[in-house]
Amino acid sequence: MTIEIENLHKAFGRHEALRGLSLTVPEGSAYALIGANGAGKTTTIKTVMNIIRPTRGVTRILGVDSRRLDVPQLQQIGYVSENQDMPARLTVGQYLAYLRPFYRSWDDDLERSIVTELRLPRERRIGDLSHGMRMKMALACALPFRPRILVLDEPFSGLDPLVRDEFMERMLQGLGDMTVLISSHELSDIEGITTHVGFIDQGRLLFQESMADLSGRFRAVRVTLDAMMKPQAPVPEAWLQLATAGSVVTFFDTRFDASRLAAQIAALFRGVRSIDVQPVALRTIFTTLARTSRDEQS
Amino acid sequence: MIANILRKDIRLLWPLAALANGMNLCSAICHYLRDQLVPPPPSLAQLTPLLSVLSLLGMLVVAVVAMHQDAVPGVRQDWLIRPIWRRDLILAKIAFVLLMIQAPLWLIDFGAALADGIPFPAACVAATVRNFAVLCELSLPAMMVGAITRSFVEAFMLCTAALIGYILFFQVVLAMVLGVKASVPETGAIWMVDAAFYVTASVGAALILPLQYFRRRTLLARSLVGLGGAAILAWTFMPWPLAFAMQRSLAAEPQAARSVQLAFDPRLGRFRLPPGAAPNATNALYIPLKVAGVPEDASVLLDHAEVRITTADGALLYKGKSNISVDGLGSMQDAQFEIRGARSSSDAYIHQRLYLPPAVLARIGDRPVKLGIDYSLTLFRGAAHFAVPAVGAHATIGKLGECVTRVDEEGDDVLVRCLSGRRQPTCLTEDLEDATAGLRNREVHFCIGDYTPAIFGSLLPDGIHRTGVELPFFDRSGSVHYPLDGSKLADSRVEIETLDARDHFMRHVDTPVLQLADLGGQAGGPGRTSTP
Repeated sequence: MTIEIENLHKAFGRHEALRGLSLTVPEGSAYALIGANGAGKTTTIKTVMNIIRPTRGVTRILGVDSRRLDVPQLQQIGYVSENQDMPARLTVGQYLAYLRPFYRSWDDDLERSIVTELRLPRERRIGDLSHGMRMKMALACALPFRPRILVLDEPFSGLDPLVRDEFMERMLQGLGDMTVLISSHELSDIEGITTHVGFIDQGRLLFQESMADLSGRFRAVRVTLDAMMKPQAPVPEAWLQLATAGSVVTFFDTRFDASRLAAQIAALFRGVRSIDVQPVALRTIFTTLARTSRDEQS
Repeated sequence: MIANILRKDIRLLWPLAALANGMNLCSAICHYLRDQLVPPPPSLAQLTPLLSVLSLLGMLVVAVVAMHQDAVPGVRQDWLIRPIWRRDLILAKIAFVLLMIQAPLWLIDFGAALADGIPFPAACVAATVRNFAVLCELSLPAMMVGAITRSFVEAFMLCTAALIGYILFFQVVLAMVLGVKASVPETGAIWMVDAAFYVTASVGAALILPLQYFRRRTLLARSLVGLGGAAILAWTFMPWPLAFAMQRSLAAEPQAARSVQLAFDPRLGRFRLPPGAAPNATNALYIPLKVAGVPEDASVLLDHAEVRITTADGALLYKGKSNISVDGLGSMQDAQFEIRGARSSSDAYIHQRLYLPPAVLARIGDRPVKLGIDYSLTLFRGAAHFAVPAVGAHATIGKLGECVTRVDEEGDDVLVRCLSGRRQPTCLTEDLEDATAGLRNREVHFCIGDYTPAIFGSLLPDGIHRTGVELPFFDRSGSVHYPLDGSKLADSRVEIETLDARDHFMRHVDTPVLQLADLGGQAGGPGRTSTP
């Protein structure tokens, strides 16, 4: 595993941001860390990068305890964050030239091509760049050394769609067999690259699995009945956000099994006229889970 | 990689560093002009100290901001996720401070010393000693503050908070409310506070910088910085016996003052106030002392005295200090006394002035009491004797350095001005003499108890030590007649004797039972009024 987190706790004063979080990011995967605001995504990533120290627990990256992360590991890790302070008074070109000697595998040609593709003005000061340009700058500083791991913390925050597309396009080109850990609210953007998903809520990992498994077990189900009716028995736990509008019942089946669904519905509703089953986008999965979690808390 | 980080910092901060060094250069030029121009323009005299302070502040800001280029506290800094050895980062910051602050300062101080006529080796030493002072008292603390803060505003707020804390605790709570006063400041041992600063800054930097860059333990580092600051301040409150014992251990000639004896001697009588002075105008007591055994050409200076007033059977009534002002009265020189060895006699008589709080005097002034005084003293001995022409001399005079003599602008004094790259003697005797005519004006003698070792330089104004003495030869009011007047200056010489501190020692004096009121000054005609 490229990144392993075991029983991670982080408290800021009395507030516990992480409460025993554990997850693993397989090598070569694109792992999306999803969760609501304040769920603990950024804290997790900053702990992985040894920017903040955990209160308890262990994180390992490239086989090394994050607290001992040093030059050999950091030469293989690219990091892009929405709140990453680069020297504002250096120009784009000056900062890239500054970083170059720190990385043994820095590829000048790749750097040039990234800067050109992202249309970064080499002569402009970093402090004078717009937020979107600064994010592109951060990406341009994270890719030329062909990192083994790319860690992205809310990379699309505040980016307009055009910049987001440019960013994604460039990132996808550089992926190769790179391992990516990404936290983002823009789930529709990362869905195309995500291979694994970890859902964090209130500092705990609710689940993690491959995108293929997640997509396979999540379905949006729409049942049309002859007449409006309530379920005849308790609904399965796997059905979330069940709603009735007239004779139409909708819900999300989180353990979809095509061979059993019809029988499950028949056991709860009489007069089933039709059943419509649709795959669910990652964004919808996230919002469904987040809403359910919020409803349970309230 | 150190060079890479250093290059980046220089690229970012060279304008700021240039500004600070430019101010420093201007300050040095102003000092040079002030020393050379006769008379110096008033605006120059006002501008020079201002520039000195500003240049130091500028250097302080540069050091703090250099650290903030790769700030340690916080979670947003890009360098945290870069493959940069922390050791390289610390070394690059130290290299920046040495290269952009200390080295230019050294060059400016060195150049200024050369321009002032100080010889090459002495100029090197002067620049190095001051450089060391600036490093320990300014650059290292600034680097520590920079390492525990993330922005200049934060650093400024931290320093302001520390200053407010200092004022509240030391000045308000300790000094004003509890009446605890520091023993060490305002004595010749003040350098011990500098020494504490040097040691704390060096040890602190050696601890704090690695702690921050390797471990990023900001809270702990801030606590240590606070602790270090408090330790320095607490050091000023160290018991005087300890401070003086340390001073004694550094004496150049221990036991040199073995023969000196102090004793209460009522035969001297009461101190007669100058004619016309109001009796009881102050709370001063005048202790009649007989001082014996002061070697010829030596001088004994009071550094500190601790006074105990007891009843006849030993019950304590009052305890205080008399080296400087007692309980806020007077200034440093007021109660200081000096006994100069005489060629004719080894005994000297002196009234040592001692201030008591008015309330204490009112309470016990008429009671039979005994005084016990522990004197801390320093023996100075003649180190060297020089003679230079009274006018137009330009000579190197021992530790005084490069000296010139000339008549002042008013035409009534001979000015002797000396510049040196090292600490100058604090005891001097100078007079105007015409040996062939057998004429000699009254000598000018002064002694300031300052025993700072040579390795301690001064932050302000620069690395050069200056001494100036005015030897009067004409009184415009006509009330004083000088044997050697202006008409004879061309053939006259300035005789200069320097004295060095050789030994520090303590003596205890007990009085018999007496009434404090009897030790007050006595109004009356002419009498012994020259002491203390």
